[in-house]
Amino acid sequence: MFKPITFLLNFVLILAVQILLLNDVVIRSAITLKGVPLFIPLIYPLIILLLPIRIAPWLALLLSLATGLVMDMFCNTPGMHAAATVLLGYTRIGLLNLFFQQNAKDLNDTVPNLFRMGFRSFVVYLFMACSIHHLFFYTLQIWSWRQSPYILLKTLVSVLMSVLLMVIIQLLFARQTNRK
Amino acid sequence: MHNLIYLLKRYQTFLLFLVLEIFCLVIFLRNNHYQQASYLNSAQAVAASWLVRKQGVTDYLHLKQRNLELLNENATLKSRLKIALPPNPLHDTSFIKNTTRDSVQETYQYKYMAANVVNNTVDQKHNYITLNRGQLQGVKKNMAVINERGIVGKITHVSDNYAVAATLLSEQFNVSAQTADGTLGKIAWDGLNIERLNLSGIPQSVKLKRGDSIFSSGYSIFPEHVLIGTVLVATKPNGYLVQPAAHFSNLHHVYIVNANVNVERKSLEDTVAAQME
Repeated sequence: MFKPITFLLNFVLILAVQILLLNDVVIRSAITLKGVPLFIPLIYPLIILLLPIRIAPWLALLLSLATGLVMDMFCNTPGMHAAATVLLGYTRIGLLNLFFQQNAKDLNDTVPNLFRMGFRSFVVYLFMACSIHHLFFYTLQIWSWRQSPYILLKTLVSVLMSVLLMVIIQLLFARQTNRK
Repeated sequence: MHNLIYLLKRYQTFLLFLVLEIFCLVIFLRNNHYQQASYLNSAQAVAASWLVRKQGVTDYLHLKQRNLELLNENATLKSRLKIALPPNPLHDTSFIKNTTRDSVQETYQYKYMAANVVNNTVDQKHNYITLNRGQLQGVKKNMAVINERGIVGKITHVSDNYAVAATLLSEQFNVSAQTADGTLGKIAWDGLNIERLNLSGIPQSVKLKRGDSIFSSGYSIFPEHVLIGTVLVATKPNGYLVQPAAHFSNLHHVYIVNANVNVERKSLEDTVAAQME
């Protein structure tokens, strides 16, 4: 059902890419595109999104919290990543119900990845999940109602970027995990 | 009682979610000020040691540029020392520049400590850099951080071997500034564009032009007359947009300024401010 080793591998590899690589990639909006806010592509929600469908909800929530707190530690953000990821861990249950039959019995080991779900529904799944996560994250980060258009713009741009990167990661690595 | 247990069981996921979410939001709300990021910060030994390893790799990519910058800085500093070059016998030697230095006035006030930037953000509302110097090397809270271009920020967290500094790109981080002729103003950041700082408080009688330099005044933790940035445009009657001198998205080596007098003064002012509230 829940394979700790798979999770740990995902956890370490995805966070390493996020922290060591992507956190340094800052898109210099001031120079390239006027008006597009600065953002860092966030791929770490993928850790939570790739948990098996039938994982116990409490475990998923605790893992979300752990992932978020590690991100907070490296980014000096007080609780923002953790809050957004816990929300994602909770809404993930509802999201998956949109794509999978709830009573199906063959879901035990299934991981919601690109090859199991099909390209289109996987992208929709990522898009919805990232929207929730990023919107909440940037709301906390900017924390001002007057700037809500700015929050929405920042969310939209970074969701597109994050989904693109996540799909690329899946195309590169998901096939192997599917064959197991 | 039976119903209560049933209810708890039924909504256990939601309840756990609520507890965890409130836990996160409490951390967020209690620490949403640049001076009080939570204990979970990148000065903690585990996080910082990984960041140092990463920096060890990326430093090589900038070696050439860094060497140039250091050479330039050396040249500036040497010219500031005003020591005459050794006279060239082929040239006229009748002119020898005498520099007299008053040793009484030159009691050192600031001590500079070099530090590497191991982690850096620019996309947040409060941006921090992590430095590889800490308590054991004599870093204290509220020390100023500058680099060869201009002022960078101030130390907000210190662990044994690492420190975290809030950069000028932090909301609520105000710096007392002055123009070349000594008019005082205030520099702050609005959280949107990392290439624009706001300068306010300049009296209307003083008109600044594009390209005028803005320096730190002696009234903040920063040494006096360190460049902050240059004026871009006037916005309001007495407000200006200032382009920061330091390149915040490209910080590698900085100096932590140890000004004993100022640290003591700042902590005194903080206690006074705390008593007033």
